[in-house]
Amino acid sequence: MNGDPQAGLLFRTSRTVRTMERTFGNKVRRNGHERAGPVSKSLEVHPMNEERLDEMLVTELAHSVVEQAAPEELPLFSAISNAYWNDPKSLERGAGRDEMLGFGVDAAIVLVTPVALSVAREVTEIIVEHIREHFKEASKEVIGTLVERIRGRGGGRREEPKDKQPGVEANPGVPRLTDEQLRQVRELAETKARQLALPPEKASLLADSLVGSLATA
Amino acid sequence: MAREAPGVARKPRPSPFAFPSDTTFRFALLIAAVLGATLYIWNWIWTAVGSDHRDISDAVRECIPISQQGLAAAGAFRSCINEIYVDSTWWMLGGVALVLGTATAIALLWPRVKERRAGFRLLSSEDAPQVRKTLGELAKEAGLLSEPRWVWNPLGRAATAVAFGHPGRYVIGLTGGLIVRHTTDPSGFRAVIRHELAHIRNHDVLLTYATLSLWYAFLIAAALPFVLTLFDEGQFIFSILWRFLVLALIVYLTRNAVLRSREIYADLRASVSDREGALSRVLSQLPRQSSHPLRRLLAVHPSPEQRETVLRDTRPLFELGLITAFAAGLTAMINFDSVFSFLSLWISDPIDSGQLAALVFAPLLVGVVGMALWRNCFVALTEGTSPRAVWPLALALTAGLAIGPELSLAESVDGDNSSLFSGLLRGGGIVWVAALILLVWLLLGWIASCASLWLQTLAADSPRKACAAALLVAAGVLTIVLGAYFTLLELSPVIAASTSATALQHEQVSGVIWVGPRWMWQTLMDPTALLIIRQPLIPLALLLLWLLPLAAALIRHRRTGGALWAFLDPNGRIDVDRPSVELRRPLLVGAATGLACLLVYGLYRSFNHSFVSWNTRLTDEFVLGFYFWQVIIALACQALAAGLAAGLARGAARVPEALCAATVTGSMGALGIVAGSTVGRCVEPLSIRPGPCTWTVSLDFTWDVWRQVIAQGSVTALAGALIAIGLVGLRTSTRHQALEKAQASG
Repeated sequence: MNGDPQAGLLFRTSRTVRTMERTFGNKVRRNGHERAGPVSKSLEVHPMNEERLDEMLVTELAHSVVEQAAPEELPLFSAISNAYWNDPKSLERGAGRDEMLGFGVDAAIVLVTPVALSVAREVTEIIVEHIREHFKEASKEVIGTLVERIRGRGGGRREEPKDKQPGVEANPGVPRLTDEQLRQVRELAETKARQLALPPEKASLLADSLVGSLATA
Repeated sequence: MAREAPGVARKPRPSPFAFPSDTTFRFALLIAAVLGATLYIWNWIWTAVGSDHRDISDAVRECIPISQQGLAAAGAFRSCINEIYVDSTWWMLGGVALVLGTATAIALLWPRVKERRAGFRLLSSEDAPQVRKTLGELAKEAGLLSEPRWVWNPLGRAATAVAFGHPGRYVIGLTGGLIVRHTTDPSGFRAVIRHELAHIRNHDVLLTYATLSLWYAFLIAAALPFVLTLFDEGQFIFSILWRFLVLALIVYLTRNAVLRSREIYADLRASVSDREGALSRVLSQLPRQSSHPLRRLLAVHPSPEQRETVLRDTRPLFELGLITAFAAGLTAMINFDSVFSFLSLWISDPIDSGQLAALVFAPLLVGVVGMALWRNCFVALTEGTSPRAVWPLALALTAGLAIGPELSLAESVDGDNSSLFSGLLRGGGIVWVAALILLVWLLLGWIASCASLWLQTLAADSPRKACAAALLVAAGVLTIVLGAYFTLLELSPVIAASTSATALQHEQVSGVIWVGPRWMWQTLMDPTALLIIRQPLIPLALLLLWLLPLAAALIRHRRTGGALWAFLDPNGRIDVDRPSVELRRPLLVGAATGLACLLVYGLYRSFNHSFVSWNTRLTDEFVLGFYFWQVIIALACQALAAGLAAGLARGAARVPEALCAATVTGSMGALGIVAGSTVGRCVEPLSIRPGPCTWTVSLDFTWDVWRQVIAQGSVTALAGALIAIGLVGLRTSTRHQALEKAQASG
């Protein structure tokens, strides 16, 4: 790996995914191709709407973060994101409880995915607002393109996804965030992750992964 | 298993599962206390809304003429009054049934509600096939009859789990964080699951949810309707409210304390299969908690540090804290009055009502304290140390027993300041309190001696049966003692009247024959005291008090060495010498002293025959005085027999052997008293009153005399034994000092 952090991360990711394959069957491989499956499917059934598009963007962004920050959680990503979207506010409620007949006062937070979803949601709100301000009528297309880009950059896949949605045209004119904006996003992401009791090192990794995803999308 | 430095051989840990845990009985005590409060509340509700005050007044007025027919009609008057209040008992029973029904409904619904509220969903094989496989293997390893339902919350970020549900529907809920741990830290995952399975195996889930369901049912089906009847009660509300809050606080704090203790038991159960030491590692990763005493009191888990410590050394689990003993006494007595009042409406004899009420609480109390004493003796045996002294526990328990009634809901209405604690505050109840301390101390001392003897005798064999038998007897004795004690306390005004009557009797008898100081006569001949000690169960309990420990002498074959039941780790051994317990020796001492007692009777009869005039001997006062002295002789002989037996015995067998000898002597003495009149009529030099040489003594009289001599004799025997033990101890200590002096000089 020659000291290349990105290569090291990829190596760790593939090793963890192999372990997860053994644990969770072939779901991991399936997820590699269908990772946006639930969202995409729901988009086929329901007419494309802004809210669903935002949700899709959040999920893709979070998935991208988890791929880098906690690859061992990928097999559970779909289940966790479904549970998250069923009740997005549940994350804000009680952590660290001393539950009767539980194992003990909740141990340090180890699961990154829910936090990634929550952070991605908050960041997405800002980005979407920014896009809507600039593109007005065309914002839907721009967001769609952003979703596709984020989806496309994960796992080394750069090709156009097969389940590309009708009406979501690729728009090379997606505005890039400035360095200052990326710095603000990173700060926001880390703060939010810490608020959700993620340990500092994981919060920092999550923020880096998120900014990386946005910067390269 | 806890982590150890490599190469360090660890002593096998004594198994806290060798005996049932006292915490089960603490839960049961809470349940009994809550049901006792329910009885009181529904009686109150009946008075407030279910009864017609005018009808009751009329009915009571109709009973008054019966009370004017004198003492003989006391029973009829009581029945007449009870008849009026019989409706209230149905309300009370109905209230208890309502609370129990509501509790059952809550217990059944709780798992479903909890599952939904916590965001749990079924963990299927499709979700995580390998995780499900591991969970199945762990459930099998835990020895559960059926696998629990596995659910998970994908959003649960910490790596933890929780057990809940009820028999037939036990559920273990996992977090997403824990599922991920299956991959990242498989042994840590298994440690957490083993801990939760241990909660089910240890019946913690059942006990915890049963107690909590009952408490919530009590709030809904008793406290709520009760509060609705209080609005027009003015100042009284405060009197009831603070007591109610105390009850709630006791339930809450006891629940937390018991839960903390059960967590440690779950850890230990889990540690037995945890060969990798993962549990200890996972515990060390838990966040450190505040050490503030209040925070610790409210927590339902012990601190991770404490859990780790107990994983390495289980000995702290064999200690009973003074606060726990105090709380047990408090909980047992907090609603004793309510149960007693309820039973009094059905049972006319107050002593029987008292003992039945005590039967509800005393066995549970013995379950808490008695079990703890057995456990403490057990760990002392495995460590080769002495068990802890029982007097601090006796003091703590007595304090709880004395203060408990003061906090009862019933006390808020009675307000007659007749309780033990208020009596003590007024300075008048010191004798009553001292008597209770003494009784409790003796009982706890007996339990500890019994435990020590049987544990040493059985050595490497499990003592569970002996423990159960001993605690059953202790529960019986405590039931009798508490029942009689609190009934006597309740009837103290009657005792005052009977004491005056006995004083008058002493004066009359003293005019004919010297019968010693008045207090002595009152102690032995007071009719109320005789009524209590002649309760048929008392002699039985007194016999069992020495029979049970001395039965250890009958065990011929004993085994020492490996004792798997006694340790959590392999290679644990119990190698102790057989205790010195004798059955034949005290029987012989008792028989010899009994013969001496009969000889003294003969001499006393002969003396009276020779030196007291014929006319005097014919008076009833003389016969009463003569009987009194014969009882005194029997009691003195019992004290002597007990002293001799205790002096000859060794260790924990001293008091039981003393009581055994005293019982034999007392039985012969009682026979001497009963048979004396017949012998006197047949042998002229021994006669007191003339008559035919035939057996004319009734069986009832024989039974009464034996019970009196045995019961009162056990007190003098105990005194004799304690004096002998003190003298032996003094002699041993003097010898040791002399030996040390000789060694120092030589």
